[in-house]
Amino acid sequence: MAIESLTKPEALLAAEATRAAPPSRRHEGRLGPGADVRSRSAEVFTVSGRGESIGFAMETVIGTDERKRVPDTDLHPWRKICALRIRGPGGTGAIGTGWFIGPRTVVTAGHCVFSQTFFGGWADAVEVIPGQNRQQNGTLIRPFGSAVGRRMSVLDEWAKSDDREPDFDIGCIHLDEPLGDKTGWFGFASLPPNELAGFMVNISGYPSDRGGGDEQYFASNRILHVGERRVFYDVDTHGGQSGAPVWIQEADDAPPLVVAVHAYGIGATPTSLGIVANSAPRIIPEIYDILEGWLEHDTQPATAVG
Amino acid sequence: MTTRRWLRGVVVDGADAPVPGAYVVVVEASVPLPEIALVADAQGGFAINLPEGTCRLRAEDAGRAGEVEVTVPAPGEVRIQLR
Repeated sequence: MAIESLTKPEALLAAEATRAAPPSRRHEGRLGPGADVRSRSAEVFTVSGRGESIGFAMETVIGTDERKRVPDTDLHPWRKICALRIRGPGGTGAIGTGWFIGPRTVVTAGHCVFSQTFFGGWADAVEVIPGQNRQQNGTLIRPFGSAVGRRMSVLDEWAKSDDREPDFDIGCIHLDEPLGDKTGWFGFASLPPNELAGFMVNISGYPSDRGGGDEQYFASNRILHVGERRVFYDVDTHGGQSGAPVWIQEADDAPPLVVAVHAYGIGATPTSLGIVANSAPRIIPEIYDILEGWLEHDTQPATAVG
Repeated sequence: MTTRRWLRGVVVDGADAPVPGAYVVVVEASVPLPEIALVADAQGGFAINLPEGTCRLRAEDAGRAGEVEVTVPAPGEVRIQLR
């Protein structure tokens, strides 16, 4: 029997090199009016750059609950984060979290607007409340008011998946009113895995178990794993925080840059990874393009979204 | 496609009175489910379209909580009592 050598073609190597290192892309955010007033809690809470290795624990709130309440939700960056009051067909209610990427465009988890599990399909309407908070005297405050969105979009792969593709669980609410002009909006980025690995991530949203969905809670930690389409981290979250922004800051004075959309507790982390972590679908290049498409759509008069 | 069944439930307090506005989350299920919280209606009721299999639901309201384990499809209405 003659044995011959088979060498991997150069063309394949070149193609792999291109696939392995897609260029990073960044869409700038906007601070919004009055941004010269600095949030003390943002200075204390948020983390930047890359972090040291950490251990693992066991639950969605992983080990000790490290979430901190955000007191000054009327300031940047907290005010760009919105409590969502979702109404489904037949009067079903739910809560989630969203965040502005433009004056009329609020990104959230796909299942906050389209879910077989929770709504049997599309939600009817979502009330978007940026920077909602409860004062010490118990009064609920909405520093920027609220707006109800009835036009929504999700990634088609999510809609087709019967709620079974966490990698594509991203959606958006298109508002008629430019509420984001009052709050500013987040920048977002598509970063290749090798660039994202090891970053500290920040997550803030409106959980049901603390503050009853009326108060914003924040936590941060290091990224544990960057998958092809999802990022995994040991950051405490709970029901109601679906759709929250997962952001990095490349330096202490750098603007927040959202890289993923929080959606899942530890149950959605593949056991093959050998980690206990929560997770979020990443803003990969294809999704970056779709977010820009949703933004572009919202600069036009209100119409159905393609 | 997953075989799903609508599960209807009610959240009650220690005196079996309905708790409108209580939150209900899925703690465990036969498939990964995301971190959204359902809101009980004016009668403390909720509905969720779950895949067949065993799941665990948790209800929360004002510092009280309760959990139940349910096998879907479940006969009748599920009650979650807050303590």
